[in-house]
Amino acid sequence: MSRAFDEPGRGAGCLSDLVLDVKVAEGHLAAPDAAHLETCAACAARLLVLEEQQRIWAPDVLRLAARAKAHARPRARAVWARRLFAGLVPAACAAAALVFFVVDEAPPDRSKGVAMSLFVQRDGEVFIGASGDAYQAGDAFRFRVRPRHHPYFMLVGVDGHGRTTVFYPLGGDAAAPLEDHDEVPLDASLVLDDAPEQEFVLGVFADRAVTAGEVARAVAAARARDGRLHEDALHDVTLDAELSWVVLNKGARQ
Amino acid sequence: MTFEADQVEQLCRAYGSSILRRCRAILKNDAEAEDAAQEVMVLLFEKGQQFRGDAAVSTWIYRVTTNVCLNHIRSESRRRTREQSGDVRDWIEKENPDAQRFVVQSDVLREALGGLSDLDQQIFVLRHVDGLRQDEIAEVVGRSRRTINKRLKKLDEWTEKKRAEVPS
Ligand SMILES: [Zn+2]
Repeated sequence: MSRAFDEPGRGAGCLSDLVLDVKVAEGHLAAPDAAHLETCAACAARLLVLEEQQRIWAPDVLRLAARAKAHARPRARAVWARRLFAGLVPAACAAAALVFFVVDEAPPDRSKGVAMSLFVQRDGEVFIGASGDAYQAGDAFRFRVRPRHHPYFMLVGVDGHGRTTVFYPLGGDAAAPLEDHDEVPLDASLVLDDAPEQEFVLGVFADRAVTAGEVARAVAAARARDGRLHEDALHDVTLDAELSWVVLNKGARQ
Repeated sequence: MTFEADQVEQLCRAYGSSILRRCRAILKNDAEAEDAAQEVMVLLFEKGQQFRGDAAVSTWIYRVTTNVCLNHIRSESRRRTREQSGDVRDWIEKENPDAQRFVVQSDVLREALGGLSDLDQQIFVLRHVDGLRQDEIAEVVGRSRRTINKRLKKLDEWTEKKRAEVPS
């Protein structure tokens, strides 16, 4: 177990775990602390450790949070967090739960058009995933996208019945600009549940703020007669946007 | 699932690794640490309304986590084992110039905390397990910085005294 004082070089002016935990959890750092972090290798190293722990322990944390929620007395469940996390609305979804998840990413191939890269965390290991591979319940995914010239982006989960859930912008109802117009890692990652169905994650790259409703209707229209959505049909989705997607097949957990 | 519960879940996920890390550091036992971390999260769901906007959520989570872990230690120390007493003897026998550090790094933390008040236990953990500054400790436990300074001096004396008084 790593502790603050175990790390030589973290001196009196250094940032405590309390400060760095806020950075890891919420992304905030006061200006003087950010300035210190810029110049202090020891604090930067500690931050990497804490970020790594958040990534590695994400499955444990998800499990504990789910159990805690089940154990909490329902009436006592809090309304308080609205004040703290105003504007941060997780997309509640049967298919996926959202966690923060940090990975080192390989640069995507620049030679093609719009693109999405898939990173998978399984049992503490991070690897680059491929569309159509079999994934397991508990696998956490992170996507990196290359929007090219399209200013708006939406990341949408689609289940085998064509039902959609917006993952980016988190809880949003329309495509939104990415902060940097090139190869932008998304803030959130997804954890696969144990529903047996094939799922799709759709990247929508648009020149305007295409709405979630438009995407949902376009995907629904591509379903087969039996109401199922097949991958081939994604090529026929008619939408004022370029699409890129990955197919997540569910495999049995080893 | 209510919208609010979603947001508490988000909070659990954002701070979950911090909670888990601190539980492991304090309790030195992964299974017990997971139980404690889950208890902390249950409290986030249940007692969140006790949180007042005048403190940062991070310090509130630190306080709740520290207290949950210390409660584990207190209930455990009631059924203390002979092996743990042996650990304390080992600690005392070791030539270690930094008693606090050794306490934190070895498995004797729970034993060593036994003689302290609840407040001192919290301060000890925040100082020597988490490495927080005095002003941060003051914020987490909700006491003045002067109080923390005074208690830390007493704690140093206590550690030295404990080293001296336990027979080898
Ligand atoms: Zn530093």
